[in-house]
Amino acid sequence: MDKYHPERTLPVPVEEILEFQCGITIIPMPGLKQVHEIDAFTGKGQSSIFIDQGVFEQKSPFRYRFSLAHELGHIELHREVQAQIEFSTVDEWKTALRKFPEHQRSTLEFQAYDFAGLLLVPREALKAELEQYIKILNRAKFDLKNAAYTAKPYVCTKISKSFAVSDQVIDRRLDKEKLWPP
Amino acid sequence: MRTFGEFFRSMRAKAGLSLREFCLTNGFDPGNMSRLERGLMPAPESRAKLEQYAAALKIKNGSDAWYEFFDLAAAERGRIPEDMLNDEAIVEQLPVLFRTLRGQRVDPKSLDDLVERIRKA
Repeated sequence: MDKYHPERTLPVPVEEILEFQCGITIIPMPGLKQVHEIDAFTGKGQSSIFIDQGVFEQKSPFRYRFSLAHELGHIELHREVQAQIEFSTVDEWKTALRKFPEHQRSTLEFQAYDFAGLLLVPREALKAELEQYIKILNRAKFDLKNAAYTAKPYVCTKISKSFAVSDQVIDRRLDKEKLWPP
Repeated sequence: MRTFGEFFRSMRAKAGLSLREFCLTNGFDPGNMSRLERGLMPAPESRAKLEQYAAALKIKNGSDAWYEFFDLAAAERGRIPEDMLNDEAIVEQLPVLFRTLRGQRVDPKSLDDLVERIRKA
């Protein structure tokens, strides 16, 4: 965050960070999700992110933003891993993909997923937003101690708007940061 | 000398407009805008269309940027862009870390289709 968005305003402008700070080209691609069930991917040269055009054009930007943040995670965290996978033709690429260990691929995907969550929903900002809604629930005399999990969907929906991410992302971030139950 | 597409992108960045915001606000096709900026689509010949783009990019009528915008578009007139990436360029765009939404590897048979989509994007 210090590197990309020291102002720390919300929502984190992930598209602007990618395009204007990292100089990465975002390329909408029709049919990527429909045919290949892929939202987005980054080319080996790390100069472009291809994204499903349907995701790009969705009215809600939540999925688009998370996909971009996930790809930025691969770019930031996995540059060296990607550089080690050498190929200079399409056939060599196919072979390299086949040889790439599945367990390593899963680990890298989870890391990029966590990176996206951390980038779009930073802990301190999440804590501050959460406190606001806890105050509201307390004022309404909601029994947070015994019914915290009943209130969680409400809190996630409310908080998600500030960060421009889905409820599910907030839900996982609250768990990951051990902020819920409060 | 900059190309029309490079200048277009730099003006969009200067206006602080992300590609999504720029396209959705103005009703432009994102695929075409992306290809235009990457030089894979020629600058439009229509003066009205260019003026529409210039306005969307917040280029002030009569400014230096305005003249550069139209000069670069004119300089491209007649250029036939390569509509597909060559083999060398495509290798740079092939992904290494990617999976389907269900967390699976892409079926090897589908990889050729993916390459074609990258080539045409």
